[in-house]
Amino acid sequence: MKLKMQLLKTLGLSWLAFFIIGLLISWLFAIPSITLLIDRSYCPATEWQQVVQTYTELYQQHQQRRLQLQSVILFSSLGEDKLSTPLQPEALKQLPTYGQPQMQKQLQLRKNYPQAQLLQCPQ
Amino acid sequence: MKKLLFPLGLAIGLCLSLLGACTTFTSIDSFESADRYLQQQLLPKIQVDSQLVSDSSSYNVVIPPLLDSAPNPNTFPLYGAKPDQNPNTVYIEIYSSAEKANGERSDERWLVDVAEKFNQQRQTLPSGKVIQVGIRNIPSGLAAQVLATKKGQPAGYTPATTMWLELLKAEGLSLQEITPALVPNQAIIAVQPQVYKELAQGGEVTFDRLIDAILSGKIQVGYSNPYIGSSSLNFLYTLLWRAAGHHQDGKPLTIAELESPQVNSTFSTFQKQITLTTPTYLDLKQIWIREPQKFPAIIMAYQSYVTLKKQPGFEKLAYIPFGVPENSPLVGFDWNSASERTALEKFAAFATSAPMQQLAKHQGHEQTQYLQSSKFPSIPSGEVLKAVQAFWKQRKDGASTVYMELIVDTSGSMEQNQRLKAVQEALRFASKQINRGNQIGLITFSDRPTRRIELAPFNELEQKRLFAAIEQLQPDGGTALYDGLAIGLADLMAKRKTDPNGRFYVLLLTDGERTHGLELTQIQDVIKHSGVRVYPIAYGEVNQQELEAIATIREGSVYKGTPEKVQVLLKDLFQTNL
Repeated sequence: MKLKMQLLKTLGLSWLAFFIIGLLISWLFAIPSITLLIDRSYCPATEWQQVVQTYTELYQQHQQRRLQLQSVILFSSLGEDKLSTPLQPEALKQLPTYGQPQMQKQLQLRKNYPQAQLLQCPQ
Repeated sequence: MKKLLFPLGLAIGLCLSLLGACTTFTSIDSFESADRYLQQQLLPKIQVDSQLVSDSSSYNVVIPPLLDSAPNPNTFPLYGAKPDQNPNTVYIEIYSSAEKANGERSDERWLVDVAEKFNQQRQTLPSGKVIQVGIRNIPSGLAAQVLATKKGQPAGYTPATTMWLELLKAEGLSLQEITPALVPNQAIIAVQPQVYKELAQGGEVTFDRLIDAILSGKIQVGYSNPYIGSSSLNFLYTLLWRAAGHHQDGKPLTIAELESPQVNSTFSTFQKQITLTTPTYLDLKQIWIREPQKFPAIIMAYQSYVTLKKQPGFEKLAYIPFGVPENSPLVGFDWNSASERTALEKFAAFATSAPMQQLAKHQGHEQTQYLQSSKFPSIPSGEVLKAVQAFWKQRKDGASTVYMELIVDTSGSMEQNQRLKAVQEALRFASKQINRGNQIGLITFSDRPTRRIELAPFNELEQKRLFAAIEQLQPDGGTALYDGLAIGLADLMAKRKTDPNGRFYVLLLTDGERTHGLELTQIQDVIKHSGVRVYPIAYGEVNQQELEAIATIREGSVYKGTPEKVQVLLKDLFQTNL
C-alpha cells in the first residue's frame, strides 16, 4: 500500500514536471508570428517583383515553421482584405495593383496592427 | 410457339442494336464537341460562296469623310402634344432622357404624365396663346449628339445629369438654364443580396469597399456605354476621379491625370471584371430580369432600381449610390423665342410643383439620403468628359482582341423600303467606331451564305475592304439564315482556338424568317457552347420567337432595327463592342 502511494506520487510529480518543462520550452522557443500588411496600390511590375520576393522568403519560413504568418492583409486606398489563409507567392505575383497609395490608410492599419510588417512598392 | 420465342427475341434485339449503331447520337456539351459537331455534321451540308474583296481592289477605294452620324431625332417617339401650326398656340418640344419619358412603360413615364396634365390645363402666355408641350424620348447621350450637330433644335432639353450639358458647352452650344432639377435621381450600383451580405460582414458597405471588392476580383459587374447612358458616364468619371485621389481634395479630374499609371491601372483592372457591356443599362436590366443570377451587380439609375425591386426575385436587391446627382436639369437654347422661354419656365414650375413631385415619387424618383448629403464629386468640364469617354473607348478592350462577324441578310425582301441601302450606309458610318487591331468579318446570306471579308486586324486597308464589300451587296433570293450563322460561328470558333482570351461576337441582321438551309434546332446547341455572343437584329418580318431564343442562349437581347434607326443602332453596337 505504502509502495503504491509512493509510485503514484512519483508518477504524478514527474508528469507535472514534464508539463511545466514543456510549457517553458514552448514559451522560450516560440515560433515568431507576424501580421503582414501588403499595400496593393499601383506598383510597376519590376518593383512589385521585389515585394513578391520579400513575401516569398517569409512564406517559405512559414512553410518551414520558422515563422507563423498570423494574418495577411491586402489594402489599397479603397479598402482592405484580411485573408483567411496566406496567399501563395505565385498568386501574389499575379495580383493586380491599382490606384494611389494613401498614407492615411497605411497609418490607420499600422495603428490597428502595431506589430505588423509592411510590404509596399519600393519608392 | 415457345420454340419461336427465343429466335424472335434475338432478332428484335439484333435489329435494335443495329438501329442504335446506325443512329449517331451526338451530345454537345462543350466548346470542343460543339466545334466537332459544327465541322462534321453542319458545315458539310452548307454550300458557301466566296466573293472576297482583294487587296488590289481595296487599295483603290476612297473613303469619304465620315461625319459624326447623329441620329435623326424624328425617329424617336414623341409623346404629349404634337407640333401645331395653330397661331393661338405656342408649341414647345423637349428632348428628355429615357428613364422619365418612356410612354410605353408605366414606371418610366413621369415627364410624359406631367406634360399631358399640363396640356390639359391649357395654361397661357401673357399674350393669351396656349402652351402645348411635346416630350421626345431620346437617351441623354444621343440627344446631346443631335444637339451638337444641330440636327435637331427643340425648345428644351432635359438629360438625366448635368454632365451632358457640360459636354454640349464644350461643343460651343449656348444653354439657358430653366431649372437645375426637375426630379431627383442618382446613379447606383445595384447588388445581389447575397453579395451585399458578404461584403457587410466586413463592415459598412460603401462605394469604396464595393469597388475594392470588384477590383480584387471578387465581384463581376454589368456595365454600359458611357457615350450613351448617364449612369455609365457618371460611374466612369467617378471611378477615375477616385483613382486620381480627388476624393481627398474635392477637385475635378484633369485630362493629364488620365495618363497616370494609378488611374490607368484602376481602369484596366475594373475592365477585367465586366461581364457584359451593353449600349444602355436598360438592356442589362432586361437580361437580368430574364436571368436573375446573371450579374452580381450592375450600374444603373436609382429610379430604375426601385421599379426593378418590384420584379419577382429582386425584392431584396441592395444598392450603393455614387457620383454626381442625376436630377434632370432643364435647359433652353439661344434659338428659342421669348414665348418659348416663358413657356418652358411655366412648364418647369408645373413639373416641380408638389403634386407632380408626389407623382414622381410613385415612379421611383426619391430624394434619398445620398442626394441630401451633398457629398458629390465636382462636375468637370465638357473637355474632361470628352476625354474620359475617349479614354474608355481606346482602352476598354485591354489586352484582348475583339472579333466580330457581321452576318447580313441580302435576301430579295431587303430591297423593300431601301432596307439594304440603309444597312450599307449604316455599316459605312459604324466602321469609324472600330478600334484598330480588333477584327471584323462580313458574311451575307440569301439562298446560301457568301463570304465577303475574312476576319483580319482592322486598319485603313481593312476599312477600304469593308467599303468595297458593302458596295457589292445586292438583294436577291431566299433566307438561309442559319447557314450564314453557322459559317460565322465556324470562323469565330477557329479564331478562339488560337486566341482563347479574345472576345467573340456575331451581329446577325435579318428582315425575314429562314427559308433555306439549316434550322435553329440544328444549331442552337452549337451557339450555346461556341463562346460567341450573338446580337440578333430584327429588321423586318422576322421570327421574333427564334431570334429571342438565340438572344437568350447567349445572354443577350434582340435589337429592333428599321431603315431609319439602323445607323444609330449599328453605331452604338460597334462603339460598345469593337
